[in-house]
Amino acid sequence: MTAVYMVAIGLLSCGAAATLFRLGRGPSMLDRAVALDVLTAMAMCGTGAFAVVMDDYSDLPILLVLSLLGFVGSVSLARFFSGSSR
Amino acid sequence: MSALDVAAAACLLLGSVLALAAGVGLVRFRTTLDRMHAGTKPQVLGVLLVLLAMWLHRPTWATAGPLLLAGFSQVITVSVAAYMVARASYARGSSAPPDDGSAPSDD
Repeated sequence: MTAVYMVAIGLLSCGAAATLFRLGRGPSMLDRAVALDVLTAMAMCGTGAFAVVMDDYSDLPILLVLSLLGFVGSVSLARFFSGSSR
Repeated sequence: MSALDVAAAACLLLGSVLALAAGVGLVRFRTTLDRMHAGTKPQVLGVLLVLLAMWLHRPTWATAGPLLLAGFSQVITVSVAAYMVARASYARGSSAPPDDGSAPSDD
């Protein structure tokens, strides 16, 4: 199970690094909003993998909080940068 | 390792592969809508697979409740957020002037 955890964390880290590249590089604010949302989902995946491998389910509320937090951030960015800020 | 643990490990690895695919798609694709298409894979399917792995690792009702709540809230909020971002992106793209400056004529 530790090998599975290492492989999963490696894949998630590569994906998160690519997402961070888009987050810093993204030409528009909406690209950054999408990248932030994907990064939040990757954090949820990492939290779930940690909970499964370490057999510690005390971080279940973190998943709920991350889900709602990503929603608020993405929607507020889309509202503020809808028409301007190329 | 029992069969449930093997299934949980498979779900974890599949969710991580989806996250890697989303990262590659975010870097490679060109427009905002294409990047949204790539980014929705770990947001919905990856997170649901990880939640399924958590339930397979400990299949009780006490863990199924919060996991179901997290999955439902993720699906609902991701769809609404994607709608908002796509509408903003489409409105800005359609209000911008076209690149070539002339309509194509095909007659």
